[in-house]
Amino acid sequence: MVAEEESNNQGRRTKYHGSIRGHNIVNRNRKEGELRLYNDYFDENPKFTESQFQRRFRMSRCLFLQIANAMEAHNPYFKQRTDVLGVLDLSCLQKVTAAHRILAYGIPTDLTDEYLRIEETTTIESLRAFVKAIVEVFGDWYLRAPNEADIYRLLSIREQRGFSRMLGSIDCMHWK
Amino acid sequence: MYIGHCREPTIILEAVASQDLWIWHAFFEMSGSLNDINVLDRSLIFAALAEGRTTPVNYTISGHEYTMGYYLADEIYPNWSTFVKTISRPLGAKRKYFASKQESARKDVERAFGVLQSRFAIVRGPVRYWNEEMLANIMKACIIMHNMIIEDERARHLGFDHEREVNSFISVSHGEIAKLHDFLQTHNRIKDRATSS
Repeated sequence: MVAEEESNNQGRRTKYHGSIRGHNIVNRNRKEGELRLYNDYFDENPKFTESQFQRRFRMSRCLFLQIANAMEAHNPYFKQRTDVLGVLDLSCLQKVTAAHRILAYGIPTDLTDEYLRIEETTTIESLRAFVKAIVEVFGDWYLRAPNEADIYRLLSIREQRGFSRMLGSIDCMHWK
Repeated sequence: MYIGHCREPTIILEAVASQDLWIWHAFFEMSGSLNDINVLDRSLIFAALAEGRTTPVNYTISGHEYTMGYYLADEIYPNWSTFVKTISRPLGAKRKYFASKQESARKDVERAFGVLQSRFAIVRGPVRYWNEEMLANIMKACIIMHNMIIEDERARHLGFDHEREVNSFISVSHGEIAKLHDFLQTHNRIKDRATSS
């Protein structure tokens, strides 16, 4: 009986879902992380000012919320869910902020555990979903080839700079 | 496989940027043997132009007729008619003036890289973990957010969303893809060395 259960667990180990016997559970109190993040940056009267927000998130609060909402609408992964016990899962803002922190600060994925209360593997999962969703939702517009209106605008800027028909400058960068 | 002329594994990103630091075109390759030149041959930036899908820009400079817009490039790029390069060791006031103007405008792309790297440190740091598809998505996502920030800040300065405003009543038409013959002809014209000198 026990041996049978063991072999079942072995089979399930490849999947990430479901409980695994003997799995070490750390109660990291996700709710606390969510509340702290919300009170710090997204509340009506946040602890940090708009300029501090802009410095840390590289963009205005308005734009960040717009991105977060788009992520939530695009991929159900970012929606806040409850588990079978009715415990709230991580919020959209937590997941998006964690992914953004990795991109903006280049921090190790483990570091988000301390402030945001998101574990390493979940952070990687969020980051994967986040970059994919960004490319899918915004890629068509923000990585477009210049259309007629763009070319007109680019050329009219150039007129003032002496290079009348220049479209831009080209170069390569190495990412080591 | 990824180790190239920099003696370290690198990923190369080719980009076109305009004065407002908007990155118009981004193309990246993983193999380390690539440098600025052969990545250019592999990128699709001039494919659209050769297919005749972009707007023709007609202009005449000192007797030569040009039908395409051009890009400013640095020394290493080939002498195609779509690139305008600086003059190394310029002689005379006229050439010196041209060189200084070209160089000051070409640095747009360097500024764009600098801003991109300062906004998203992951682009600056060493490439860690993850597979190629993930790395490509990370790069794209950073550039998309970079452009979103530029648009957002521009709208903030002007008080309204200039770009959307313009685009809302201009319909963009992309014509059919040209026949192979036309394609080759245009392609040769892009690479024509005579017109650029």
